[in-house]
Parts: sequence; C-alpha cells; structure tokens
Amino acid sequence: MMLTIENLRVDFTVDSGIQRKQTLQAVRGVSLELDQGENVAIVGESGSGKSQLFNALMGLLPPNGSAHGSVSFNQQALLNQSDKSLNKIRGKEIGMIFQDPMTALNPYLRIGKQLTEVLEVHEGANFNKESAKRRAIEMLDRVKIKDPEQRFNSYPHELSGGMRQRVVIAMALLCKPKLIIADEPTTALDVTVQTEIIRLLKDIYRKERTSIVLITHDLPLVAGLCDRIIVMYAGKIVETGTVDEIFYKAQHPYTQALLAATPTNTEKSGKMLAIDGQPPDPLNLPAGCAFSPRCAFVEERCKTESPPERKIDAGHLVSCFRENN
Amino acid sequence: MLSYFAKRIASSIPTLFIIITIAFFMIRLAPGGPFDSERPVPAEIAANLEKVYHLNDPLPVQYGYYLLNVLKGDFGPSFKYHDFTVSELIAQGFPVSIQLGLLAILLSLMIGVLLGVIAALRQNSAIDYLVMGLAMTGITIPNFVMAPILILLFGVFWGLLPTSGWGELKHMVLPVIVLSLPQIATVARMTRASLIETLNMPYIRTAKAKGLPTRLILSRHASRATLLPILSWLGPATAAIITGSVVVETIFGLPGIGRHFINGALNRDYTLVMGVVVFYGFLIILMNLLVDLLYAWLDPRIKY
Repeated sequence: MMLTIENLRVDFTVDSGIQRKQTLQAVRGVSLELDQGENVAIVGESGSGKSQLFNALMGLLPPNGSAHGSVSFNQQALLNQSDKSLNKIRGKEIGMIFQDPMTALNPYLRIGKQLTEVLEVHEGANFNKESAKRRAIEMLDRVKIKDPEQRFNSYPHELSGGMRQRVVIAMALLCKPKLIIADEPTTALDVTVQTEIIRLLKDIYRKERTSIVLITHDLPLVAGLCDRIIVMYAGKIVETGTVDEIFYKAQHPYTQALLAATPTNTEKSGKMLAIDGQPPDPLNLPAGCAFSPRCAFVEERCKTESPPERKIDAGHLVSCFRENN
Repeated sequence: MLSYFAKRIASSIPTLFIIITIAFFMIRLAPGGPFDSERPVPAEIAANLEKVYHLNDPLPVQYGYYLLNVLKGDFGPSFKYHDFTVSELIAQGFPVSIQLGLLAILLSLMIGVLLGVIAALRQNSAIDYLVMGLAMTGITIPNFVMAPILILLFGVFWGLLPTSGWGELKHMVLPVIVLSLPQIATVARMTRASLIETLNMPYIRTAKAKGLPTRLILSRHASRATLLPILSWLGPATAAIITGSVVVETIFGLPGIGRHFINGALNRDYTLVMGVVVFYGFLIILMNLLVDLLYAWLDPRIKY
C-alpha cells in the first residue's frame, strides 16, 4: 500500500471567547488505503471533513487543529511529524492542488519563481537554475498553457482563473510526485473551464500513472476520472465502492440522496431534488448515525447506535443498519 | 508613471495653498506681535518697523503679499533674527532635524519589525504578550515625559550620555531614542498583525504544501505582504516624527528646525513660523508620494 490511513481523527479547539472552549470533531475515525496508481474520489458536502482529512496528513492544519491516529506513506509516518521531515515529502512525493487558484498563488512573485522554487528546495545541491527554468517551461507547456516562455515571467494577476489553476497543477507535478491531492480543483472555476481541468487531470493520470485523490462535492464530475469513490458524511466514511457500485448499487441512504440531487435528475415540475434538512452542527452531532435526522429510512437504533461498516462486495463497504436498500 | 508623478505634484499645490492659508490666519489670531517686548519700543520705531514689514496693512493685503512672495520662493526675512532670512534658518536647522528624523525612522523600522515578527511567530505566548505590553506602554508615554525620564537616568544618575548639545554621535542617542520609542511600538504592533494575517493567506498554505522551509516562506512569500502596511506607516510617521522633533529639539537644546518653530511661535515671528509650516507640509506630501511609488515597486498589481 502506498498510503494507509488508520482511524484518523481531526479535532479543532473552538474558542469563541464567550463560551468555554469546545472541541469540534471534523474527522471522526477514518481509515482508508490507497495503492500506487489508484484514483480515488472523496465525495461529501461542505463540512463533511473531506478536506481536513488531507490537510491533516499534509501537516497543513491551522494552529487550533490536531490530528490523531496513524498515517503512513510508503512506510513513512506522516502524522504529527516535524516540518523538516514533512518537507521531504510535501511537494516532492505528494503534490497538492487547491480549490481557489485566485488565492493559491502568491500575487507578489512571478509564476516562474513559484514553479522553480519547488525544484530549488527538493533538489538541493543538484539544483540548476537553467535546467529548472527549462523544466518549468516544459511543465507549463504540458498543462497546455500557451506561450509558456512568456508566462514564466508573468505575475498571477495577469492570468485567468483557469490558467492559474493550470499553473498550480504544473507546480504540483514538477517533482513527479507519486500522489496528487486535488482539493476541489474545479469549484472556483467556470463550468467550461471545469471540464478542461478535469480532462487535463485525466490526461496526467493516464500518461504519468500518478495516483490522484480528488476531493469534491460534485458526484457526476468524478464518474469519468476515478476508479473508486469514498462518500463522507459528518467526518465519517459512509460508503466506499467502485464508480459503478456507487452510481448503480448505492446502499447508503445518503449516497442515494446525493445521487438523486443532481441537476440532470429533476422532477417533472422542474424542481431539483434536494436532501431534506441541514448537515449536522459539528459541535453538536446527533448520537448514533449522524445522518439519522435527515434519513428517510431511520429506525430507532439509528438514533442511539453508530452503524458498523458492512461488506456488500469485495470493495463495496457501507455503514448502515438497513440491508437490501 | 511620469504623468502620475506630475499629477501628484500638481495636486499637492492646492494642499499647500490650504496649509498656508490656515496657518497664516491662525498665527495672526494669536495676541501680540513680533515687536512686542517687555521694554516697549518707541512709537515711531514701531511704526517704522510695521511699515517696512507691511504689518499696518489690512490682513487680506498682507496675505496677498505673503502669497506672492512664496510663489517667488521667498519666505521673507525673520522678524526676530534680523540678519537671517527664513530660508537661511531652515537651511541651517534642516541637517540636524533630518539626521534625527531619518535615524529615528530607521531605528523604528529595524527594531519594530524585529519585535513584531518575533511576537507574530510566537503568537499568544509569553514573549508575544511581553512585546505587545511594552509596545502599548511605548505608545502611551508621551515624548515630553519620556525625554526627562531618560535625561534623569542616563544623564544625571548614571552620567552615561550628554543631556544636550550637538555635534557628536553621543548627542544623538537620547533624542533619537525618545523620537523612535512610540514609533517602534507602532511598527511592532503593525508588523505582528500584518504577519499573522499574511501567514493565514492561502498562498502561504501552497508554499507549505510545496515543502518550503519556514525560513523561505517568511523571507520570500510573506515578506512583501507583511511590509506593505508598514510602508504606508511612513507617511504618518514622518508627521509624527516632525511633531515629536519640535518637542525633542527643545528639550535637548538641539539646533534643528523644530526649535525654530517653537521659538518662532513664542516670538510671534510670523514669517519664520509660516516658513517652517510650509516646509513641514511639503515634507509630508513628498513622503506620501514616495510611499505610493514604493507601493508600486513592491506590489506588481499596482500600476500608475
């Protein structure tokens, strides 16, 4: 296994100054494994903990966040390591693509500097300014940026959103990482640009065989790109399966509701189907299954007990008491 | 760029005009005149003097004369120092004041930024609270209190530094410290807030995700955004240091412009006060223009 996450929990200490300090559980015991060359989508609503899960293992949690559990990447522990040892992996073995390319690039530095510095810090003594520039320009070309030589000397504000996201992707790819974490890479972009970026990621995956973890709330988006889908709700995995299993044999009521709530699946009246109710308040989670207040099939025990993970097929797992949905 | 520069210079003319007008009428509102003294001057001489300096003309006429002279670049003769023109007095005092001011700004920047960075990186720790507490104290103690305290300690009790005079480096130490203490405090507080804000920016997270060491994140990715607000401090800082130097030069007996300003005001030396006011106004306008140019140099998104 390339990446093994065992029982990962992420807590935030919330101090409003008025009330006493509270602990917010963003991720509540997540375990998952990822093989070299595998492509996985993490799907869930805002606040489901999907981003914090990967921020935690990259050491990017804000100061009030803490991570517990164990994470190993190619036999190396990742969780709660010093910046120094994490920096041998970050940007080199694991690349990251962020949600908002408008703010992910430093507005004060030229694109070229922001690209080549990845090589500068990871190649140490072998770093050569000329070859780094050449490789950065090649990479800009690789992510289909026109006039890469010119763009190398541009500032981020001189580029469009889609172009900037391509630069961020080029930055993540420069050291040929084994894993790319893409945290909602298309959310902030226009719909037409979204498709281009997804096409680019697909192309990268096909040619470089780099594993990609795609964090998103957009189920249809992942269909063509990923092998496996992991559905998260309120900090827990509720269902895991292949794309076909999730799309055609979804077991968890939340997954089913999520699939029903896509724009292509509208009622005859033209109204879009939505999931009733609100995601739970992470400071005040319901006992038992977190989805129970919104679930159409809720039973008595759902309100008190947490459903265990149940195997449907070899790779198809679901956390729900209800069978034969 | 050049047209922007020209526009800014042009737009400073009305500002200077307003400064001159307000200052002219305010100093005239003060009771007494430049030739009043304890020993009365004979009436004929007083009349002669007032005639020479147009002081018996109606105020608007005097104002007109003054404006005309300023347009010609002439601030007139000093009423009190009869052998000097106002321009000569300013030229004499300027080297002293500019040395004090520049040293104070330099010291404030270096120590203030250093303290602010330390506080920001150790946010909410004992060091942070200590630095910010000291900064708060520095801001609240006025310079006319701080100066006598330092004179008492370093000059009188310990005999380490001279309490007045000018010419050697040791004469500058206390005045520069008094001038810069409140500014160090301001800069430290601004740097802390600015760096904390910058470190929360998404592009800092990108830099971390790329595997950059903290040293490089601070020096390359956080430095400019942190320094921009401190740059805009330079404008008001010039004003604060000028007003501070008026007090400090008087207390330490330094031959700068600030002392001319005080003496001019006390002696009703109308031309001298006016000259210094216009000069100060010009300095502050110039400094603000410089700040805007530095902005464009630091931030690639700003173009004039």
